[in-house]
Amino acid sequence: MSIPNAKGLPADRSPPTTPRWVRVSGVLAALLFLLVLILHLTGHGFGGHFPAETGSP
Amino acid sequence: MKVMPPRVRKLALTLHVLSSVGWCGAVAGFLALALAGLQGADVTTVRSAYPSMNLITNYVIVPMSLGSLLTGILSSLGTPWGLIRHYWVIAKLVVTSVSTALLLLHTRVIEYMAIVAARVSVSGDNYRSLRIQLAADAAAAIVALVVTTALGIYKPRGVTAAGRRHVAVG
Repeated sequence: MSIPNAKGLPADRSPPTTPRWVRVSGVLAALLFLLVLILHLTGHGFGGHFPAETGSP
Repeated sequence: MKVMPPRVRKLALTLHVLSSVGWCGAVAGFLALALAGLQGADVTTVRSAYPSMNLITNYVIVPMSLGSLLTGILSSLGTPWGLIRHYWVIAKLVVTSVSTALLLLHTRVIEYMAIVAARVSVSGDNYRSLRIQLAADAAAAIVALVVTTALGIYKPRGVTAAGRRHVAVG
């Protein structure tokens, strides 16, 4: 268990660099965003929001 | 913002947990209805599923998502964790904000399907892409809510430059 510091927060012994989990999550989020963007631009998404598929409401 | 007294902090945290859990539960119910609508086995079930999804969205999911976002911001600002001092708080804020924004954007799709289902038969390939989209949206929302819950519980290490400055000054 980590020991809280004077401000009541757990003592953080991580070096003053961006943690690996943040870098990995950032890359994954960027890839996901890119994938969704490509699918939308190429028309391979879920078909847009209001397509006139069958009849009218 | 000043650190909140313990009573206020606990009240804000209680409201935050309630709204977040409520949001996740409501989305799970929405997903069940979306899958029933996608399967389209029974006309009566499909006809009632989409209006029900619209009601759940407007009266439970949207209020809970906004409540979760606001109480989360309040809780972080009123405690030593801060809003931009720890990477896990920022990650939680980003995931919650993006999820809420996408939800608000997609409420029109849900409303549209509720109107469609009340007027025409929604089965087979009728409006299939929209039906798939609603089920996929709900599944993605559950993944996002599991991620934010895990971030809040595990609190992975990592202090931002703002957090280091705060510790140095304080």
